[in-house]
Amino acid sequence: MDEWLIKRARSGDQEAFSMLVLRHQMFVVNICYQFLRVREDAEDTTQEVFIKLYRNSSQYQAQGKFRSYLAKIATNECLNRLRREKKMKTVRLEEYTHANVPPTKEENISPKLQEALDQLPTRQRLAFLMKIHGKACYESIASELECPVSAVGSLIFRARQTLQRKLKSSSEEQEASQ
Amino acid sequence: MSCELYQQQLSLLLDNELNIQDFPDLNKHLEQCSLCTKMYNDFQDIDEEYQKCSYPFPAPDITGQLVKCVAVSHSKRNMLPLIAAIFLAFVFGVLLTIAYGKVNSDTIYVVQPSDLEPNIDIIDQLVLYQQQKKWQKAKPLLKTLIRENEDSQILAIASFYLAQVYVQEKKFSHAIKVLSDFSKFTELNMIDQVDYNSFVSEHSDSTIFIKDALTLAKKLQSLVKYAEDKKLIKEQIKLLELLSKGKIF
Repeated sequence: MDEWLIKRARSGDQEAFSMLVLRHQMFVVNICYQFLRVREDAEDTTQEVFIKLYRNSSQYQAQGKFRSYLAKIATNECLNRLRREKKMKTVRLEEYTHANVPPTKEENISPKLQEALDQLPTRQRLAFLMKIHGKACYESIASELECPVSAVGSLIFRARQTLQRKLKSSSEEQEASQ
Repeated sequence: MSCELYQQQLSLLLDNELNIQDFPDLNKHLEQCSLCTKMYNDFQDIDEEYQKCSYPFPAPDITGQLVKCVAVSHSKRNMLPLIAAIFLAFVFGVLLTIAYGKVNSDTIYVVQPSDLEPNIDIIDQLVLYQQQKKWQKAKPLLKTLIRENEDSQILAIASFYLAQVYVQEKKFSHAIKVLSDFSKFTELNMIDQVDYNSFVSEHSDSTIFIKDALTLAKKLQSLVKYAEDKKLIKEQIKLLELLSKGKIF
């Protein structure tokens, strides 16, 4: 279905393209939000992802899962955006956390998964998200985060370990309150 | 070996960075240790949870804007064979002229496609920002266009557009500075030579952006000519204020 839609969109069928966007926009915006943590940035980047998808649609091979392909584009676009922000604000990537951005009203209602993710150190969070969404190999994560490959496994492990603890304690608290 | 070290290996296993057959100890440990087995299952669950974690806001309303952008991009792509043909004809003409010794080849500068592509990307992005009324985000792009461009038409449009953004922010002196810098570059009267109509027809995919800038350019034409004269700055600021109140911007 997605392959057919992308082929139609490529030949100028706008309805096919809008259907493709409607089918996958929540999937993409979710990934972007996990990376960027600002609603407006996540939605802007989602648009950029779909524009990139359209422009590079000829490169898409229908062998793999379409969503994996889309997730890789989304991951790259988010990293590009973080890099641009870093350049503009002249802060190092590891210092760029959502804490640098004034919190919006909506961000107070983030679910427990988001809260747990927010509490991770930035490098752990980025490594974890690049792995689970972008399916990036350790070498490319290492080059993105400018750290040795051997450190990537450790970053992702620490992220999983912390998330596991936090989610476990939050579900225990929930059970106790009931 | 401690459970934590085994768990670290389990995380690698989950990422396909480790082959369990190469680590018989790990396999053996998993069979005996319920804590590590549980941890492995928890890690898998966590990955899945985050992959399906739902966006906490309503679905963004982006389809309309995206379809417009894609339509613009599609029409631009359809123009590519024509542009390529014109480019080849031009190169052929230049080569012929050189062959007949009518021009010294040192004076010829052929615009390479790589010179143009970044501008096209930036203009696309500007169109998007303009549609979304995100003036602040357009600003750095406009500055880049002005800084890195020697094409007087693009420079004119970008300068007027940036001046427009400054006027909206009520930074009138900044607007004057941009216009003044532009007038220096174009040696004051260049503006009359800028063929906006042909520019608009060549860049028909960016017409919304260009038409606005064009209107502004015409309204401010007289200001640009005098922007260098510091004595007139106050008068120009007043005039810009009046222009902005008159909803010209």
